[in-house]
Amino acid sequence: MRRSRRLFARIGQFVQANPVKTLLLAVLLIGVAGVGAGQIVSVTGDRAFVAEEPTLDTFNENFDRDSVALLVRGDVTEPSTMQAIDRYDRRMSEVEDVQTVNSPADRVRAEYGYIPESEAKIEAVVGTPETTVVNVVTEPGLTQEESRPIYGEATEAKQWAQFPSGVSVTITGSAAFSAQLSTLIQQSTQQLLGLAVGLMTVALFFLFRGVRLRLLPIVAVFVGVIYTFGAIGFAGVPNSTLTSAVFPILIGLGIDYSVQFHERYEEELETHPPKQALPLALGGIGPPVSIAAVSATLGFGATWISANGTPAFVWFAQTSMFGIALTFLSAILVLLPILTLYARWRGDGETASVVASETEGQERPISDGGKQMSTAEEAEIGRFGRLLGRLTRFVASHPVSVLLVALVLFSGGLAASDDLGTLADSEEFIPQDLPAYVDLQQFRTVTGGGTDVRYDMLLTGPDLRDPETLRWMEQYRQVATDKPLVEGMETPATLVKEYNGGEIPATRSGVERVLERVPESERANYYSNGYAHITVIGQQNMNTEQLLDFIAVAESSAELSRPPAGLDAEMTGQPAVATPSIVSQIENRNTTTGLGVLFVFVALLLYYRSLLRAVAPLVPMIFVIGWQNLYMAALSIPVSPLGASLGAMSVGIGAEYTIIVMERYFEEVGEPDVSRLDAVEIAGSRVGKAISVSGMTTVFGFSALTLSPFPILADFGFLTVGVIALTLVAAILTLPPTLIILGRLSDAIDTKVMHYRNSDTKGVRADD
Amino acid sequence: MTEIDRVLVPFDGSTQSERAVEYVDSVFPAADVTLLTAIDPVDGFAGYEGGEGNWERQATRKAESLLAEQETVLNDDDRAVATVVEIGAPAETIQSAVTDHDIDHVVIGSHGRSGLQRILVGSVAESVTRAVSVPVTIVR
Repeated sequence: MRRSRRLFARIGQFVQANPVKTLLLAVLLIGVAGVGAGQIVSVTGDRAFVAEEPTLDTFNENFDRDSVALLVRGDVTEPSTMQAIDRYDRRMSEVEDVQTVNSPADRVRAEYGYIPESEAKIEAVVGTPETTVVNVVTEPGLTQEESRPIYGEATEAKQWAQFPSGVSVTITGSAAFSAQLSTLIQQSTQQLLGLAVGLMTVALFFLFRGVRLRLLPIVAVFVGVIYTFGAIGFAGVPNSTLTSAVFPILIGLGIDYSVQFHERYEEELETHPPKQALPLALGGIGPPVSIAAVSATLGFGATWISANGTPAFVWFAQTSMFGIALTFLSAILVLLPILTLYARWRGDGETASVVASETEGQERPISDGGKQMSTAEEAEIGRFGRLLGRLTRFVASHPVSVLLVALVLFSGGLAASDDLGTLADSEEFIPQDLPAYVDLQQFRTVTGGGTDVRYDMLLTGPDLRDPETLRWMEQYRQVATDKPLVEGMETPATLVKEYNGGEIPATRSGVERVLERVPESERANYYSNGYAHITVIGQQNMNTEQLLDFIAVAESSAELSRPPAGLDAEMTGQPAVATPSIVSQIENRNTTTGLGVLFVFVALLLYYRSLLRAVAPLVPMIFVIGWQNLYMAALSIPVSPLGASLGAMSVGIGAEYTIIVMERYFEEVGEPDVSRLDAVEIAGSRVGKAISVSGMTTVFGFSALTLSPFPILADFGFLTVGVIALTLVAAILTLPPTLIILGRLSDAIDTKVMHYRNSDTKGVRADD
Repeated sequence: MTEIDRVLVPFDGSTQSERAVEYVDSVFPAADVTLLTAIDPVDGFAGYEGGEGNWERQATRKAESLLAEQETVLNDDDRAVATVVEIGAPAETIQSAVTDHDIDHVVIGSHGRSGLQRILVGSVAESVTRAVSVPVTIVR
């Protein structure tokens, strides 16, 4: 602790002596961050929720093709419409990474060699559909970054093809959806950031009264956010739906660090010249704020570890960890030098030193309070501070009853935990009225299902073209389609039968001959590089539980139908892998929370080398873990994968309030003639107000999330706003009684030890 | 030679600073003495580097108690002894105290800092010697 204080005091001394150099360093780092931010990539949809695994990688490389579909509604058989479809088809066929383009114009052209001017001739080939789809299929194994330009090309080709008026043309499909969603995520991140900054400005303006340059923390935290963008760009952490939630959180947290530094500096300036004020302020507040930042980082670390490699959660945790460190850094590099320069410009502190010298020899008014407070301090604490002081004294005087009530609520919360709903379908994370999503749903209706009802199974084995293997596929299809939820199946066997008059050839060479007759683009969907692919069609609109059952049925049916030796059949593809992964994240939430508590406990123990000080700040946070379930039940907020990490996060974030109150308590309780109850009251009145202000500011930052168009983020916003408010309540109401009880316990242990040692000294009596 | 009425003794709790107090007691028996402890915001002072609780308050209390002990060494009817505790870089604080308290002579221990700190930061006594316009006695 002493080393930590010195380190921060030394940093303060440096910044104080070199404010311009420090600011130049901050500006230089903004430039560096700009370079990093340019390298950020965006990943959306299921891909963000699927961890890398060999089967999925093999599937992606061989069979996973994104598609951009053009949904045409209206007079499809009108010659001008068919000509436009043909123009679109031919232009898209030339685009890089496009494997094939399937359109009705292909069939018309195959029949006549051109697109005829007669509607009757066209209808003779394609019938009289009201809707048709032009499907642009990409090469397999493209990343989202690589497939997105195809969407751009499709949009241009749609304009260029000049569809007649009266025909509705919509671009949809997985690649198109991913591109549109990516744009929405970027817009939403920017909007949330802007909103959070706006709300913070309002909060600081009204709550951070009496402090000069009170909006400066916003500038500092904004620079911290720029640094974070740079860091994730350099580290290759992509931006995803969940990552965009980090920035309002960061602004909330980062503002807190800046506010604490700012407030303490102002306090020190009242009695010291700037030269001493900054090292004193940073030496005093730096250590508790840094341990609080470490705790918050560890809370996110727990999320990272328990994310089981699910990318979106890992990215969320990594971005948050970078963000905490960098907003802390920006508070030092941006806020402090500007405050120093401002103090110099105003000539602050000169009066302070005169006052100090005049009062020499008398009782020095100590800026940090103490038992006797000056009138100025009384005024500064204000009515709210005094109220908090009295409140903390009251709860500390009735420690057992207060903690019992907290415990009962905690147990109620644990009981309510099982009844909470869950949000695990990644399509429910996005706005349900998002035009791109509505288009995709319409496309699915028209085509009898989209990618989401078509699930993939990868077959590996020595001889996948053997007639015996094909016969097994048929048997498997019959077994599986008899089961609930499985609507149908497309296997290499169904392909071979389709091209062989409904029969499976008797010999391997017979199968090969049939496959040679199948067009390459169609065959590639079933056989590729020694692997085979089965499409299992599920019911539309399955809920999460049904989907999990469906996957289990598909896999167990494969085993039940006794596959040939050496053949391995596994459900894969992003939709089949993402949902189980998200469900497991939700089910593991207690582990995540437990890990968060453990990490923060170990960090506090290592820092304080005292069991009492490592346990005390965590007790209120553990209460909050239970209470938050009651809050969620009351507002019917379902547990999303993001909410599942909230327990660990709230421990990390809330620890800041409890650490700051506890540090102040121990400062006071060490003073002569100050009882524990006095210390609690002083801590409550002096820092209770400060943490309430910073807590309210944080709540404002988080509240930006409630306005997100993404339901998962909006729910998370409501959740975090409630949880931060609960951590504040817990820090003020349950920490004081915890400190009193742990203090008594510590006294009792000391007394026993003294008895054991047969010391003449009598046990220290609890002085509360 | 000008008469020496007021002597400043920077006191940081080190043995050298105690010797400086003893020196003043024997060499300037009639002069008024100001005992000054400068608490460095980073390093504290030789008698206090840090501990539990509020650092600044504790450092101030420790300095006051150390100065009170030294006061008893110097106290007799012929002179006035004042004690001052200031937060600030030692050399600068001593320099301002010389002006503020109208000091005629400074008596300072040779060094309170040791080892690496002395190499990095330099000697307070040396800085004071260069900075003040009154005679300085360095006691080893």
